[in-house]
Amino acid sequence: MKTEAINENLTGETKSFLSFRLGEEHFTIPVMKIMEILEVPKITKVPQCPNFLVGVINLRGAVLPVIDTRIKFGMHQIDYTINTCILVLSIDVNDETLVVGALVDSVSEVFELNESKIKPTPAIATKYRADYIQGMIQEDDHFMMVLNIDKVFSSMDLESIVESKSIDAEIN
Amino acid sequence: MDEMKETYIQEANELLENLESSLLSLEDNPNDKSNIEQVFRVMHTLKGNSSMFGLSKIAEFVHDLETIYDKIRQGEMQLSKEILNTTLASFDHLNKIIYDSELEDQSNKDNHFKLIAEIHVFIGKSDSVGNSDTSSDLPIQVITDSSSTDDQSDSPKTFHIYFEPNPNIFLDGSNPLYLIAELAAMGKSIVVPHFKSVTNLDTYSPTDCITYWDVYLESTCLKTDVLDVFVFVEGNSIIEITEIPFINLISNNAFNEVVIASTFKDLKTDITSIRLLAESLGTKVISEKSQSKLSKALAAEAASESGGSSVSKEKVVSSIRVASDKLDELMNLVSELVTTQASLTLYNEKNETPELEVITENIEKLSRRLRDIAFGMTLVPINNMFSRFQRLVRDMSETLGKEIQFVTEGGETELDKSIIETLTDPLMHIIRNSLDHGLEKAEDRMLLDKPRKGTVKLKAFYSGISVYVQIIDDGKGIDVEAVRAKAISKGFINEGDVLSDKEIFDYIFYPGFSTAAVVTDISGRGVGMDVVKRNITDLKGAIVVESTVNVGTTLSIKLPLSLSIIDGLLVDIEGVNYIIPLSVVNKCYEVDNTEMLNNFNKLLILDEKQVPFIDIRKEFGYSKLDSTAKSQLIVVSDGDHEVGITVDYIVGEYQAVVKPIGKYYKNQDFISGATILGDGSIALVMDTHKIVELYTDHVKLENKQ
Repeated sequence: MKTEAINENLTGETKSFLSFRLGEEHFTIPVMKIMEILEVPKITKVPQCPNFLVGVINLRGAVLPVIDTRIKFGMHQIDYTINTCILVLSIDVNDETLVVGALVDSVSEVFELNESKIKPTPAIATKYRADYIQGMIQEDDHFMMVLNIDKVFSSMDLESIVESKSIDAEIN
Repeated sequence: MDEMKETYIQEANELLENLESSLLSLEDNPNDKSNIEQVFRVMHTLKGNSSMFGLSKIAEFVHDLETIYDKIRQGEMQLSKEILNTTLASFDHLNKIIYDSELEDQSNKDNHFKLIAEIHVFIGKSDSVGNSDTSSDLPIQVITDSSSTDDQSDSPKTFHIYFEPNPNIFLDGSNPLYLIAELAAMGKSIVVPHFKSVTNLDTYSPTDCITYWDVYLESTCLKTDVLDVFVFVEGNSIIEITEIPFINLISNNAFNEVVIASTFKDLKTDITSIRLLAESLGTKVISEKSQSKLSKALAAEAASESGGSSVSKEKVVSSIRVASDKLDELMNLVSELVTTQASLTLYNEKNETPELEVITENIEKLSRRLRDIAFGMTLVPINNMFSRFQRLVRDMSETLGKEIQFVTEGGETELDKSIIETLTDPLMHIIRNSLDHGLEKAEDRMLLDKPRKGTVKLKAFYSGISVYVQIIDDGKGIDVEAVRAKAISKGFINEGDVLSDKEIFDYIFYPGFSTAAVVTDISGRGVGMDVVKRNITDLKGAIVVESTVNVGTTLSIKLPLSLSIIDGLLVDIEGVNYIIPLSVVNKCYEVDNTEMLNNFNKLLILDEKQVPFIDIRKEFGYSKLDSTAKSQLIVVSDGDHEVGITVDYIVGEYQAVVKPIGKYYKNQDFISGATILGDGSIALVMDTHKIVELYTDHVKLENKQ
């Protein structure tokens, strides 16, 4: 995807975004939320917890919880590849800043985009919970979902991001 | 400006805290002059600070308040309960208005003027007397001033004070030692006690004071200040004060010799010899000065001279205020350093380069020292918290109409500041319970042959790597049978269950245990006690109740010294490293897995004792125990019991810097944190108590099914 030229007719703010892939789907989040991107180190699994919480890693002396975004999004778990990486995200939950690692299949690129280009999500057309998706960006013939990561990773409960079990089964 | 205001508030808060504790101890010993001085000084500083920041309303208020204590200090007024009450009320008021310096809040404003009026009554009362007193005081001061020299107040001088109390001094309740201590507090001093010989044992009375003192005091204060110390001493006591101006004798060796020599005589020290010495020294100093040669004597002289004036300065410098988040930051960095150092040690072991080994060892030593110092800094004496309770007890005893004596012990015991912060609320709750429900009214106590005054004791002490905080009262106690009956009626236990008293008392901490009926039955403990227990468990502490009806109740809280570093046993279970705190580990055994797999009762006989065990692989959802292999069984203590926990193998001892694992794992509370090992991987720190709980719940669930 080519970098968007700054168009002066656009009203919104121009921000940087990072896009990543989970399976065949493309997602994007504002770069401001990403502290760094890591290769997958040794992950220590904490027993007796939901399987999207894959464990904790050592981030230069701090203990960082890691979430497998695939499982969180209702996809099946796959073996880590050379492209698998961890996005270290800083998210805001109830006035608190939490740092969490998100495992994704691969990161694609960083691009600038005017916020007004983000289209609202069609309420019915998405299989993901509406409040997790901030909007869509159309790029040629495919769509990319802009995630509201504060929401996605703040829900510590066991509920899946996918709306219903049937879709879950479908993906699997 | 905001930042300055913050500084002001921070300082004011500290001053007020100081003030409160002084006021409360003043209440117990109204005649303690040092406390009055302390109160006066704190008020004075607060006044100065307030006017420096332009907060005139506060400054004026404190000024009026200070006037009362100035008068008491001067002996023009007597401290009364009314004054103390008003002062404490003013103290509360000050606590509010330091945030509302312009009295924008109406209630603050009303209160402000009400208190000013009250304070003015006190000042006004003695105004007529006071005015004449001060005016008559002044000339005396002038006379003493002129008798010596002009710039009296700052120049150091030495006093010789001879104090021979009236033999009956004890009868009017004075303690001459307090007077001596007060003198000693005025500067550098040497105190030489002498004893009159008892000539006739038949006439000797043990209540007579046969001691007398020679005090050498090096101070910048005036002779009148010294005289003031003895203001409450009745006649017939001999007090002689000799002033040797402009010279500090105490730190002079020659002087010390004279004093020591005279100590062994029963006689009053020969003043003239000292005077001579002083004079010779004086001239010596001057002549040497003119020769501009620094002799030893001069050096000593100079040191003592600067010593005199820097006494108060040192007090200020000896501690500095540091923002607590800076300390937290430091702790984090030190923890990281310890971790990095562990990986360096690991690297060194692999490489065996002699030079590297030396460096590694040095860094290891340094980081260990640094760690100890950094951890020491975050420890604060528990006294800070105790003084807060003093006020609570005082106020509550008044509202409840009970006579209560509050005793604290071991206030110097140090605990991590975050533990102290979390501990305040539970302790407050427990003390309130003790006062409200535990202690009886004076009349009821008399019937039981107990002293009128009920006692609540707050005690803190070290025990190994733990700190104990105990709340002991001599009230009516808790009736075991009542608690038992309640537990049965609530369905926690069955009629026939055999439980120790300790186990029964533990039900007090069950949520919802306390009801209105219980309040009357068992003196009401249990109101919110589940919260108390939870708070303490969050701190990795434990709480135990002991009680005897009509004798009293003791609540013991056991706390770890620090939350962030523990000695642990590093073990391996299915390739995952775990740390078990060494404080709970009793013994390790090697057991055949078949023995455990085919065990129906989940009990093993170890050293002729039955020990229940937990198959951790099953609890953690790992694969089953390999029936052909052996496991290590770590026997840990859980309260009074011993429980075995199976692990694959033991790696060794490890000093773990415990870090939180974050909110995502709040449901996995059997893992109390994580630590980073030398190779950079993570080990999980087990909370064995929680694991036992998890297991018991599990078993209960299975039994129900």
